[in-house]
Amino acid sequence: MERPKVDIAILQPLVALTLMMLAMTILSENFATQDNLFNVARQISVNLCISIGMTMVILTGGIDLSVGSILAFTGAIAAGLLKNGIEWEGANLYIGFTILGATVAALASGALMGWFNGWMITRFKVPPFVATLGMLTIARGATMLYTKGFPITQLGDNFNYLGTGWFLGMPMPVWISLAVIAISAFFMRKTRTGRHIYAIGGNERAALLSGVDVKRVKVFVYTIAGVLSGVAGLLVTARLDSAQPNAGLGYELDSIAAVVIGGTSLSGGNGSIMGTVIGAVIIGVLNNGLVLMNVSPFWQQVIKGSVILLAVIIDRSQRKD
Amino acid sequence: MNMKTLLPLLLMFASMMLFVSCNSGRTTDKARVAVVISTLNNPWFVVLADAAKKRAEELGYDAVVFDSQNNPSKETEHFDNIITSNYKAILFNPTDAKGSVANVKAAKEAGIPVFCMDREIDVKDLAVSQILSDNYSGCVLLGQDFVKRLKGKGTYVELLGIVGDNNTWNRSRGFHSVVDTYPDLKMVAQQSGEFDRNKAMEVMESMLQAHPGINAVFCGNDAMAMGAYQAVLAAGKADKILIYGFDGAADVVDAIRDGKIVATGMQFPKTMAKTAAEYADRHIKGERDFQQKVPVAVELVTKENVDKYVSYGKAE
Amino acid sequence: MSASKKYILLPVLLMVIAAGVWSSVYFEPLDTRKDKERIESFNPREMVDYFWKHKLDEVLETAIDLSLFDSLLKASPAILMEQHGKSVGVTSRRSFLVKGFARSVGSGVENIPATLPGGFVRYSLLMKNVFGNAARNATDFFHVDDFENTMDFNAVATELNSLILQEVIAHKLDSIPHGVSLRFFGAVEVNSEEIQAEMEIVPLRLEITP
Repeated sequence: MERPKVDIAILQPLVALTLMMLAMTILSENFATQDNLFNVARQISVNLCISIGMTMVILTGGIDLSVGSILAFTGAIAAGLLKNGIEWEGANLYIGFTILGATVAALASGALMGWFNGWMITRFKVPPFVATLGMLTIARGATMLYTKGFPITQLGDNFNYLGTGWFLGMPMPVWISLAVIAISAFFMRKTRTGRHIYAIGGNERAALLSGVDVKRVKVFVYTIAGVLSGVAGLLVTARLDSAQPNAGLGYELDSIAAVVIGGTSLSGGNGSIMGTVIGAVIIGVLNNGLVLMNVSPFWQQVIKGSVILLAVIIDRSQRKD
Repeated sequence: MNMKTLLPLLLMFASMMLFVSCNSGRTTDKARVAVVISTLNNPWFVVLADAAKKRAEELGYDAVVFDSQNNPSKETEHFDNIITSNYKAILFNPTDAKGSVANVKAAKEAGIPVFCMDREIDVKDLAVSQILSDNYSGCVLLGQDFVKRLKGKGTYVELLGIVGDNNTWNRSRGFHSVVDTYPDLKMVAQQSGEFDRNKAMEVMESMLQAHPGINAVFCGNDAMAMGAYQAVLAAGKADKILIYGFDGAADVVDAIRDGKIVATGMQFPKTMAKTAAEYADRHIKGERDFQQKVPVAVELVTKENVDKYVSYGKAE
Repeated sequence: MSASKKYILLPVLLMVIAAGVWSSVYFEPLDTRKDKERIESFNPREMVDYFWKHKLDEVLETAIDLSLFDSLLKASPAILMEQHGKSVGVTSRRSFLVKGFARSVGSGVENIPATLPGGFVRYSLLMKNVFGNAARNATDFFHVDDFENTMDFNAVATELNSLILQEVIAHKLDSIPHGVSLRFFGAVEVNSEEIQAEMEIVPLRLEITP
């Protein structure tokens, strides 16, 4: 199996990013300050976690629309278990959860939902778009049921440290997303399963015939996407000191945008984690810069959409060469 | 990378830079005040935002409006940007009484005074002052009128607002604190119309099917009251069912005058916004003695006194 | 993986998992937890009870005589509002503490008219369900800035009203025969923009005069 060529493909998004940051620095005096750049880095961290999971899913030729809802559910589980635990009236027992317990439970629930996506897709051959669309609604409904429609707040400074704390001069969310990037980049390049993911996206039939356990790998990527949505859910909840029932609405779109701008093809097989990272940074910088320049929110939407389209058009024209 | 791919990229960025620099808000030398509103999707809040912006500009500031889209994450992003961008004060309409506390705390730590409008945050002494609408007391007045007009007996349904919104429950509780003490007044159904006219109409239609003989409906806001009215009218029961709303919107004030809706609780978004802007101005100029909470009374508007009111305020 | 390695790895793994579970959850009896929650939450009933038992007397001493109140209302309402009126926030309503006399008209009535011949306004004592903020605001004892949450402040009004119903109104409703002379202390709310022709006084104390 060939090692996928990644280095040249990310040069283009990198140049785009550099140009954009240059433009922002010129157009707004507040952009290139340390405070603002840390803000941007913190804001990007949520989308980054989701987008990395999304990259792996898209590389296998699939898609995951449920990431936003899973983010909300895991955030609610973490907050709910931490604050209210589980009350078992029959045994007069209150089961309290520590931060470790609540975090693990949240990530586990994200994994479970992701696994369910993968199961639907491999066992019942439900198209990924449909399966994850179903999970989008189910997870959102589950979040509403668990929270009864109300946010869960006041989670304590120790938990909130995950989202608001600083460590060695950088915000915690930045450290967490750096860790996620490092682990996933290593995973994709150096492990067998990583290569399998590319192979499945490139040509699923060929991969199957050469002995790749396609079903297992697919279930794996969707589960990982669920876990990473869980990490994002924890980051959001800790940052706000509040688990909101409508958290994560629309986040799937920003993450797909990051993946696409970063050079990963939606049909699978081509792309890279690092490309997605640059894509996410581009979107974050764009969002931040436009707000700093006080561009109307309506124009912001138009600009963002145009950037995504342009990125895809340029990418397509490149491939034809 | 060759020129063929570099050129479109350069063109794209050049054009974007040009476009954006033409459209970006021109900054002047005036001090800036941020107006953060929970959502601009609801006309009531648009009135709040516009009144705050207008008053701030009258007092000599540049006012920038931020839309939190009912999303505390978005609100946090706005606060992040505001704190790094040298604003002198924040006129704030929180998305959530508990969820928005972290943001006000961050602003306070950065030295930017926050003035809450219409809704409060659940912690004292973080915002400089909170100018609120007393929803609970307003609905106590509504409840008393409700009981009087129904003469203490009958059946009714309730259309709640968005379940996760504190105001939904403040209003419902105020209403029930009066009406529940009359055992002959029975609530036969309670559903959420999500503060939305269309949704309220659909829900009301279903409720009318299940309970055709009700005497009244209490709606958590005016949009829902208008939706309920449509449903009641379509069912031919407009003269048999009393409809109550809350807010003081233009169409309901007119509807009260025409006898279609019985009453509403008039809120005063313009007063709250003006007061917040004025407090901010005084604080910037050095004054420090402010009431922590300033409830603005909600007034009962019925056919008998409707001529004293216009949409969202008193008639001049 | 060799067999011996497995024998070491498995128990270690189990211990790590056990340690993980141990530091993830903790147990408590449910009723202890519920009690803790109750103690920490705001209790309006306690606050109102405390006021009623310990502070009501001194507050009632500040009440204005009804006839004085009435004549000021007629002659110079603005001064009356400013000097004696209590209000919270931005509103046209003002609350006052008044005292005066009334004559009962039999048991089980909803109002007892106050004795004020030739008054500018007709006053009566409310003898049924009490709603609203008149009593709470008139005492000038509860201040909105002292509460974390405006709903807590409103809960105080609700509790005070139910206490008044229980201690003052319900007590007297059936036990006062016709024609008996009464002395009252009460709270009244006035609309400063449009003074009402009839006002209901929420009784805070009712005594039968000899």
